[in-house]
Amino acid sequence: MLTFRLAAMSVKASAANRVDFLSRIAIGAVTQVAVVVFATVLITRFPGMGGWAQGDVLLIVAIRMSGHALAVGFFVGLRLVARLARTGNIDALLLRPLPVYRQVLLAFFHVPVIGDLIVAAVLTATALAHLTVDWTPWRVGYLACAIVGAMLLEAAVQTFLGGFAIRSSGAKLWQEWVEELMATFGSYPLHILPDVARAAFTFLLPVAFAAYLPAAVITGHTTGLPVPGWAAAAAPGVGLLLFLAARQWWNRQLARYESAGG
Amino acid sequence: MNNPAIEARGLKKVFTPAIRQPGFKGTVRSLIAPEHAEIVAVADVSFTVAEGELIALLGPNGAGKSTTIKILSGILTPTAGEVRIAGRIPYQDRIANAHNIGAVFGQRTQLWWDLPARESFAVLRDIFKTSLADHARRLDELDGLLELSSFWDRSPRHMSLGQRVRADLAAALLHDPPIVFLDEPTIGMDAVVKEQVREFLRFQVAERGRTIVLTTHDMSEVSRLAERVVLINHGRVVYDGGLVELQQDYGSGWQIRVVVDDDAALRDVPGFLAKEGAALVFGGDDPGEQRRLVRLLTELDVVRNLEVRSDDLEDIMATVYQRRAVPVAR
Repeated sequence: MLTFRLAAMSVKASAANRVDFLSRIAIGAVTQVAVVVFATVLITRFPGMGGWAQGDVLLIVAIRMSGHALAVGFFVGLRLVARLARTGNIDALLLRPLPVYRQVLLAFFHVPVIGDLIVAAVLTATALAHLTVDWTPWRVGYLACAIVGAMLLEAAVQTFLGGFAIRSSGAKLWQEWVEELMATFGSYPLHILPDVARAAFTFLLPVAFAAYLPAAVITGHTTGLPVPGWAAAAAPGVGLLLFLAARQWWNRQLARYESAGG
Repeated sequence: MNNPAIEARGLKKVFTPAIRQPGFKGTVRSLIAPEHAEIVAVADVSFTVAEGELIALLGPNGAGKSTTIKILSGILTPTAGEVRIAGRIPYQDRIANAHNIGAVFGQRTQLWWDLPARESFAVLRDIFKTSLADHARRLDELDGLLELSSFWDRSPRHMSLGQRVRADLAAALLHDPPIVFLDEPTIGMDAVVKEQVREFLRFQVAERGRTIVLTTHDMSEVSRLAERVVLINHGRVVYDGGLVELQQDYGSGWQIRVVVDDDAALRDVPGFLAKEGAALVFGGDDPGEQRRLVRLLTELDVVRNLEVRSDDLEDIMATVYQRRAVPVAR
């Protein structure tokens, strides 16, 4: 209940300036044009990509976009950490009887997320329409887990970097760059990339576990993956594990918070 | 002191900020082999505060006052030392501790910047799980003391500094904490609002029995509010005791300047120091002698002007800092 109350406060604060609010919604829609164009070009100009059919590739785009939209919706407050730490405003969060992490997540409503969610829903519907997959209850459940896993994986990366941002405002740039990197490469079947890049996106910045590997499991493309089939199937769990590890890292960094001034 | 609300023993806080050398080379070097400075903000601070006591935590800029308050309130984890607030270790038991404390940092608001203060108060009621009846009663009392209702429908963004700090004071006390930390709460306020806040603090101690730790650079505020002061310099306690004792121990005594029609008879009065212009100057250390002289002078018809001076508190503090390099145990 309190979470909803705080979330409602953030939405209300975001809507305090109507011109700014509407402008942000417009920016959200414009930002997603690149994803929509990518999907449109894929459907109208190419039969597929790297041996995957149109629908298979669209499923990667849909899972990533859905996970991203949810991550932005629930975890976008992590983008504020550097500013909150630099200005000493984490102090106020530490004085309230609530976890700081939760307060950070609820401190800010990202208006453009409305555009993200709409695009994610359209892409998912389009992907499902182009797929020739037997949607058993197991597959439907797995798709839902994959989307949540994609959200948690993006949240894990942002939480990890947010932990750095508690102590170093430069981490904000890393947060932005990594989000851009995940958006750019997370929508492709990664086996089209050179081995080094594929390994980097599997083991260094594990973008592959967000959408590529779960989509491979759902569509049956389980050969030629950078990890064994069971590891690919466990991709949503990887997102969860990385998120839990990132939360531990966050708590350790918060204990080393140094406030500002004074 | 049977029930100390606040216990600090040997507190130390060391910050290790990265050093960045100027220029491109310096930037590259700071990335490859970063260097860290060691800043000892608090070196050794120990004191206790009894329940219902107001103390002024004083010191020059950079002395370690704010860092000490942040350790006490659970914002910072000390590098060494022990701290207990109402029996709890604030940085380990932060959430439980938050119910026991309120804090105002004069230069920053803890309210939601874009929302009317009254809405912030309502959310704080939910966060601290205060009942609707208690919240309404406390808000009504705080409104009476701080005149909040004239501006509580505004967001902090659109408040004056005085209004914003008053709203912050209310926000800090709405959950009825027994212990309150105030870091420069009246900084930048005009005289009228300052006095209103001082009266509010007096009420909180006298009527509500709250324990208050106050930092300020306003010495008139200290003399009007605090009976006990803890002076910190270079991260160490250099004085911990009564304000009156501080003035007696470290002041240069009293001084009276008097202008009279005929000063011949007064030159033999004990305490006469010199004649400066038209004024006779008397001085001494004994407060009793000062009172006797004032009585004598006020009974004389020849007195045209009389001025009683005591040491400025800032001067006294400067004297303490100069004389006392060794920390004090209380």
